[in-house]
Amino acid sequence: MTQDPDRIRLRVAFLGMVFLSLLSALVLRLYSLQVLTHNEYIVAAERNRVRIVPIEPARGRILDRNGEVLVSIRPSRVVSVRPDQVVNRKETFQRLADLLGMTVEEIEERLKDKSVLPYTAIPIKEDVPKEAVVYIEENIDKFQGVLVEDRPIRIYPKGVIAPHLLGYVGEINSEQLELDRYRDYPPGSIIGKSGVEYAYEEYLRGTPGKRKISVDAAGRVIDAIEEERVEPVPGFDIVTSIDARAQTLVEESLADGIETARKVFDEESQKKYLAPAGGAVVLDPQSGEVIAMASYPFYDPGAFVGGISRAEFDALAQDPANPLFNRVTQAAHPPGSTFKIVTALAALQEGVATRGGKYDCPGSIRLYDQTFRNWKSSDSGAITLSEALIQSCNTVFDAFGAEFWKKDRDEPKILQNHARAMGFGARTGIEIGGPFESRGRVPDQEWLIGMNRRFPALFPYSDWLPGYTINMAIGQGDVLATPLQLGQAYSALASGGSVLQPHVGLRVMQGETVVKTVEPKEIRKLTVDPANLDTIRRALEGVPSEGTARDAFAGFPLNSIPVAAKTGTAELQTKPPKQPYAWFAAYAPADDPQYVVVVMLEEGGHGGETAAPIARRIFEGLFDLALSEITPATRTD
Amino acid sequence: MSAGGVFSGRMTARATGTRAAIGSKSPARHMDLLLIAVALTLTAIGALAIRSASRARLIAIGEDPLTFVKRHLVFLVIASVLLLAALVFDYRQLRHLAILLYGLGVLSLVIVLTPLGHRTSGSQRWINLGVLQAQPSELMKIILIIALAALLSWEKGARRGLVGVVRALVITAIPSLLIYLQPDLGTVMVLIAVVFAMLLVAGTQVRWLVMVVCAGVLLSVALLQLGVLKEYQVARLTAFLDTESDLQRAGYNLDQSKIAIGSGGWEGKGLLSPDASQTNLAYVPEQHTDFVFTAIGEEAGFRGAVLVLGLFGLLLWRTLRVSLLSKDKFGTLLAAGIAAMFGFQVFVNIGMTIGIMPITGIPLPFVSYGGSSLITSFLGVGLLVNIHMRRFV
Repeated sequence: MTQDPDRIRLRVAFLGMVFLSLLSALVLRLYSLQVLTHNEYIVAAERNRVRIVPIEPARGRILDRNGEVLVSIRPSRVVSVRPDQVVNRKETFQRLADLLGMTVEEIEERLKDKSVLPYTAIPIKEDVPKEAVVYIEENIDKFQGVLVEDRPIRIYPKGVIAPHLLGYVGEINSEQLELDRYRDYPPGSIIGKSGVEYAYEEYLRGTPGKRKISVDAAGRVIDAIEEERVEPVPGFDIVTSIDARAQTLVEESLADGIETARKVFDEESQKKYLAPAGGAVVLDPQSGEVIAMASYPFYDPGAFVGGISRAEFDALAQDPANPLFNRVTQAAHPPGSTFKIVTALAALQEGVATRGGKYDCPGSIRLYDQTFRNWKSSDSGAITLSEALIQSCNTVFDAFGAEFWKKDRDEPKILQNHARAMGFGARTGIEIGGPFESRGRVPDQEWLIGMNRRFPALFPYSDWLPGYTINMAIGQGDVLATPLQLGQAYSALASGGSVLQPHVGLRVMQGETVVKTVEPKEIRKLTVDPANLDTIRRALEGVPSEGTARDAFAGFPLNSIPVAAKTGTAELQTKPPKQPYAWFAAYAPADDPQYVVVVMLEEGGHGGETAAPIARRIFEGLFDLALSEITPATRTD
Repeated sequence: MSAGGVFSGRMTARATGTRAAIGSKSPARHMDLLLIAVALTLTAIGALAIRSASRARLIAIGEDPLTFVKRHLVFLVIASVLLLAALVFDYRQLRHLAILLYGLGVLSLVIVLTPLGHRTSGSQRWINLGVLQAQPSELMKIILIIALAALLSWEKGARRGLVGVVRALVITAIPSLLIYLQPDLGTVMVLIAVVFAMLLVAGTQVRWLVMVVCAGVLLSVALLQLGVLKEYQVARLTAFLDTESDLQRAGYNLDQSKIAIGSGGWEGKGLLSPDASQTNLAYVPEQHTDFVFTAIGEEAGFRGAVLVLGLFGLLLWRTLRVSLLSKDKFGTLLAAGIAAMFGFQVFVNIGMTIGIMPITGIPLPFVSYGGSSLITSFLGVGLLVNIHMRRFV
């Protein structure tokens, strides 16, 4: 090409310039990516490749006061599934189901609703037999996404014991992950959901370890970066104040007592007591330690291990008897006549009654145009305050209530203040209660105004009527208490006025080393005349020997082990009417109290009739006496 | 002996030891060996990159990790034979064959779209030839270059004006439309770049070139606006504009690609090194084909990437040099078209891996895995050498 009429050389050169500039642009861009912002991409590549997988620490154990292991862990051969890696879901699950003796639906159920961290496996079945493990490992190509691993799982060496008190564990759910309490918890963590497991979570949990793994684009684990593995630190052990022997005794006695109550025919409702549920607690009145606590019906915390299925959980949660509900700390009912110790103390302190004074105990009494009846229709004549407690005479206490109303009709507070001083109307603060514990209720003017505003049909007046105080004086009406609150109040009475915070934990242990000791905590000391307390204490000693619990305690060696007690029967003003709630609160030995026992049966009859025999059997067990058969006693208050 | 062909002459010269034995104008004396060396070096680098890029995926499915490398070497053998075949005749004869080749090329593109064509991952690009599958759209690039060179060097008067431009555009549009129907947008873009570069070098008046550019821009906007393009095509085309785009969607390829190259740094992480995790843990999709450059960027770093760019620079320089050295206009245009094909593919392919060009399915010449692409590139080199060695005859 010698001649160039179209300036072709120039045009080719132009094309060359274009290429040169394009190549330069590529070089500049490469320089920017690979040299200038190199570190950014190194980080991004690491983030792609490296996954940090938490290693669940072995949870601490829970022991009874004598060192007996109530809750422990053991390694279990667990078959888990990583849903993201399962190749043929239907076939794989069918094979797994056949091998593990499950149904495909059960496997799907276990995988459902789990907050899944990528690269973590969800346990499908625990304690898989060795043959199944070998089969899976030999046919791993047929089981892609299926893993066999040793996981620490909760075990209950003594079987179902104190399930409500000790609680259960389970996988953290999405709502809990949001909470501040579980700030550092990765999804999939096992947490204590209730009881001691919940309350001592920070000690029991331990410190999770971590494992770095590198994964490819498809999420397959390429290798574990073992040198950067951090081993988990096992959780601490919790020594509780529970006495396993006493706990078993209380559970058996409560269950027997409820069975017995269900055989008793109730004249009023013309049918046997339903007694669907109940609670019993044994406290040490000197320290506030919980020796035993039972709530009926029981449940099996082992069912939660490794993840309860939604169906199983719903069955528990929707059971009308509400087995997950702890009757001792969460159920607040009118305490009936067991509340009379408060009324008696208030009457003595406020001068409404005197220790030697005599008060009429008619079969019924008319106060402010209303008739209030005693639990028995006969007239007992004029009796002392002590005798009124022993016989549980409602009319005497109704009259005291009327006196209180006269004194503080502008703003009712005498009875309220005495009740609050003994712990009613506030959470006891037991560790296992937390936000789940009931406050019970001490009704007052403020409460009434609120109810009037919210339910004007039920509470047409915001004026505090005399009937409110009169009903409250006998533990009926709107005053509510949990069995634990009652136990706290009777402990205060037994210990001479010290209101203690009940507690379950004694020590946090790391091996043999004590990490933390739980000290008894006195909430307040009652500012009352000790003589008044003494009067009430002495009166209560008469209840099992000559009062409303006489039949229930017939044959009990009250001479060697004097028992101070009070029966109670709460009538719930509901529609349709409920059968009475039976209460019994007691402590023994009366002269040197070691144990406070409170028993409550929902729709289980009368205190002296069905609750007292249960408490009697508990005392027999606590004091190593021969255990008597639980039989219904004479119907009393 | 000299009648035996181009090689016999050279072999004779060596055998006798006397250079004078063959004439200074003998074509065999003027082969551009550097061009061939660059092509072979790039192919060798490609084989290493393909090995890295495909190994993890092949191991994961239990295949021989060298499967693609081995196939690529088979393609290299075929491509080399075809390169040699492209030398033995005088390239000027192609002017007479241009219409026939063009007809066959268009026919094969039609066949691809019939049920005889073979479909992979959503587009119908291949013809099954028993053992191997051929991708006619790749060969069509070379055929179109020949056809355009023949057309634009044919008639002096018309080629500089509107008539020449329209003719060139029409013969480009026919295969472009067929390839678009496959769909293979990347190759269509290569054809457009080729026709533009060849019109430029052919001496088309600047105003017509400007008009072609404006028409091209309008057409692109219209395509995007009227929704003629498939959604995934638009997404991929525009992903490079939005660097923070969603990992799960179109931006994923680009992000993984940039991470691979960016994390390579200055020195690279080393060939098959476990640190080169983007490559060896298969994070970059389509890595042994369209995204093969990411393996080079991660494992060989900036140095390696620039070396590869340097080799492409060398290739383009030698190609344009051929264009200038060509004895006739047909050769000049042929070389310019091949230069445009290489240059555009290199820029778009590498540009897309580093986020300055849209993601389109354009292979990196010589380096990407793929028989049709390799053969097309080698045929291109063959034609270039053919023009170069016959610049005196």
